[in-house]
Amino acid sequence: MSIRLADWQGEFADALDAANQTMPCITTASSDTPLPVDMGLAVYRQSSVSARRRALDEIYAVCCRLLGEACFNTLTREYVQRFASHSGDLNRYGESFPRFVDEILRREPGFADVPWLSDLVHLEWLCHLVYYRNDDAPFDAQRLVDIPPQQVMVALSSHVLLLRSDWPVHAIWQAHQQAHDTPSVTTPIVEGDWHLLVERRSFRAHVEAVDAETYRILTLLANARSISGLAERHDIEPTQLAGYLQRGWVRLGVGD
Amino acid sequence: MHNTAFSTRERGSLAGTGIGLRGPHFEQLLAAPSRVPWLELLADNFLARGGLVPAQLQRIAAQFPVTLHCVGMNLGGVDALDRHYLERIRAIARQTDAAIISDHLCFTALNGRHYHELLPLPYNDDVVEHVAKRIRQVQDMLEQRILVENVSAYVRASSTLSEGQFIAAVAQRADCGILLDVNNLYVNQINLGTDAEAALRALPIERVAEIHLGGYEDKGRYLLDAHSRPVSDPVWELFDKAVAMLPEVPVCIEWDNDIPPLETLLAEARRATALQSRHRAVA
Repeated sequence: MSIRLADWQGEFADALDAANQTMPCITTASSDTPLPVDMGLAVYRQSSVSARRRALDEIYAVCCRLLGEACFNTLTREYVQRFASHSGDLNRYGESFPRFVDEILRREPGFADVPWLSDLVHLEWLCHLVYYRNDDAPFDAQRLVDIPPQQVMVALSSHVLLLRSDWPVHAIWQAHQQAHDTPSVTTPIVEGDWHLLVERRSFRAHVEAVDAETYRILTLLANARSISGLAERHDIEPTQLAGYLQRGWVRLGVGD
Repeated sequence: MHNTAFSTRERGSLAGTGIGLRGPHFEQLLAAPSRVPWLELLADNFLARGGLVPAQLQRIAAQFPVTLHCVGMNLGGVDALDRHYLERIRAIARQTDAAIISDHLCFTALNGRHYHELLPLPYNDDVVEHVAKRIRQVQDMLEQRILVENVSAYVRASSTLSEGQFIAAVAQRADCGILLDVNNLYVNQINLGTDAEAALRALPIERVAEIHLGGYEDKGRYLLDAHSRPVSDPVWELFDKAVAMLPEVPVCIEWDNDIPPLETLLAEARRATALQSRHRAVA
């Protein structure tokens, strides 16, 4: 009996999602195959789950080191069950993990001693993102000679991301970069007001704390702004921007 | 309109046995490019537009002929084709001057949800038409013909065509090439009781433009297409029969998990090359 391909795939996807569900058309067709149909569906199910969990393992390696594999695996198992992948690019999977961990922190009393964990995984997500961000097109400084000052624009570089946290998660992250690093927090963790800058430098993610004023300015520059407008409306002088430009945190462009 | 055969020109400079490039071998291979005639790149690992990835692509393309092997086209799916993904594949193909672009005869996503797994299709005339139409659209977007690969399967869908008939019909209707995965034919024979040699005989050999060889993992009740082991003896035997028909077609050794030293892959490549040479000498 013929069945529309969309319906067939829908049934197959449902059978992958629910371990106790089978597909009549597969069960019949597979009745004489050496591999039982339930086992065959389980192979697909396991493989699909494993691919997504491997992606989380790679992105959130520090979180895994700190919690230990067993605890981390419990988290990723639940996350994969609840959060589907919406892109063929596995590098995009795991974006909601910080929000999910935040929910876990509120839900599970056992996580009371790691209140900084959701900020740490957020930082790991930004480190992952920054690794793959686009390169900015180079800007020829000679062009500045011919451009009216009000048209010179400045914006945060594509390979720079920002995070504010109540916790020094950059220090925790830095202390657990290697697989053999002791899986415990030895850094004094003092609640405060941390402004973190994540950048790709020599093809690697680099994290550092910046002062609140730098953070404020760089946050403003998430949207490109004219240099003259920054001076007039935000009291930011070009000399301040020059330092950021030199460090590659911001880039120049030409506005309309 | 193309000729049906996949011409030598379309294969570019590919010849002999290449290997799938994996991270642990990257620097070793780039330091000694003469060890492998060409490389297969898993295109989905090179989608990023910035940072290390474009720099790596540039280095690879400067030293090797390459092919692009994809898993994200969702050729058998019913969701709209992902134009952003295909545009990126086209850009990578141009940057690397890829001789071949390939993907699988399967579906990987439904209703925007991606499974990251090669999910099976029923084999019947309606599905042939559906998949062939999508492949033609993909080829139009990429501005070159692609190869479609037969997949390992773990369940059998209700079908009116055999695996070999299905692949042949799709390739002819889409006017595309075939990437013959010999290991997958054998895995299906064990898991589903299909006839690997019959599938091989059903293929239009003039369309087979590349062969894949990989190692399965024996899970006891079934074989898992894990690409984590050496090519098994029965698969070498089936490969021998395939290259008797296809002595000139480039071969790729795939190894994705529990990746061994490069020398292990090169030894597999030498064995494949030797078998092809023997058949070329007979021909």
